[in-house]
Amino acid sequence: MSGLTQETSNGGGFDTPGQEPSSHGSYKSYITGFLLSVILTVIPFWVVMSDTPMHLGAALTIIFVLGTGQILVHIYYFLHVDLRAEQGWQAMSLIFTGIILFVVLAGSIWVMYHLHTNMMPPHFINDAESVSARENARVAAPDGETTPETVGHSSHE
Amino acid sequence: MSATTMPGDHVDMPNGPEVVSGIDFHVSGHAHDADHSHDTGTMLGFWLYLMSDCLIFGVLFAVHAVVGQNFAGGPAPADIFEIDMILLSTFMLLFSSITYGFAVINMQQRKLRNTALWLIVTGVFGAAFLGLEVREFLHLWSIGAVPMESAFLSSFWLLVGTHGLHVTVGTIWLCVLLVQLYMHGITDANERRVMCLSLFWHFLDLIWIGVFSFVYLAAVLL
Repeated sequence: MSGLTQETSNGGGFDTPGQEPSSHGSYKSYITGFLLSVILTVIPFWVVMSDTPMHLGAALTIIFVLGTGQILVHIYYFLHVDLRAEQGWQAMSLIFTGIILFVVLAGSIWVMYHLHTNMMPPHFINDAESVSARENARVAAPDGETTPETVGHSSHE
Repeated sequence: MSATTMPGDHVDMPNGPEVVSGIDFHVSGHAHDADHSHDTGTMLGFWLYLMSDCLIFGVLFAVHAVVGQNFAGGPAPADIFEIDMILLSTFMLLFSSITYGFAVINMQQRKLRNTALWLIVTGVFGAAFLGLEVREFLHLWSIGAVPMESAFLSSFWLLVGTHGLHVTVGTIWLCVLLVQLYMHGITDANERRVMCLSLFWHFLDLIWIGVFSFVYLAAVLL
């Protein structure tokens, strides 16, 4: 079994010892990954922390696109996944996990948001309206009369 | 074990050592050929564990996506999150990722002392991250943003707490690994352990990207 895999990898010419060090990275690749990560971290934080007027959709797009980009950077530069590592099983299991994650996340969000709007009984809708009314009152009066324990503490923090 | 041998065991016993030595033979032969300890399958197995762990986090993210806007009259993300502190802890994890990478490079050059030093630096950054997280949790608890308050806070504490628990375990593992390196030096087994923790540590940093983007930054804007 192991002799077989050895043979395959040699036959494919993938796991030659000369290529081994690069699969674990060098200072250069780690620093490249680090600098890319810093850029991809700082921009979304800047979007949120600086009070630049920006369309909400644009801000969310920046956050999620750069977050996805940084995940890919980490996978490539830090986790060193490539299509050839471990005869391809590493990349295969990663892609499989990605598909399952997509199904779980997209499916949950899709189904639950539709359930939320389609199946909410009338008295819950009234509740929700009163909650949102309270929320609005809280936003309208930010000096904290409505929820003293929360706003009061966070203001002295 | 041997005191209570059954007749059947006598039949099985000769097979046992044979199989084991067969595995050993392949392992040592492999390590010789590629001069690499992770051809044993341990690295692939650990990778598969990480992928299943990734699914756990994926489910927790899905829960947070579903209930993350249900505040039940309690505090909303913009009321309770301190984004500058999150930026600080993000950089703690990012620094610890690159210092762990330096430890791996030094280990491959058989520099035990430098390996240990970089691992210690990694542990310090990991501990700093945990300290910031504990500080945040204590702060949230003190202002009443407890898990019992709303569905949003329940899933927030569960998701971020699970990640923090992983970092805690990783930090303990790091300390144990330092003791093993001190006792045995850079052996094949220790090299394999360092590489496994490397995957684990970088994986936790990767999960944190999802946490800060989705749980903190996007939620504060919404």
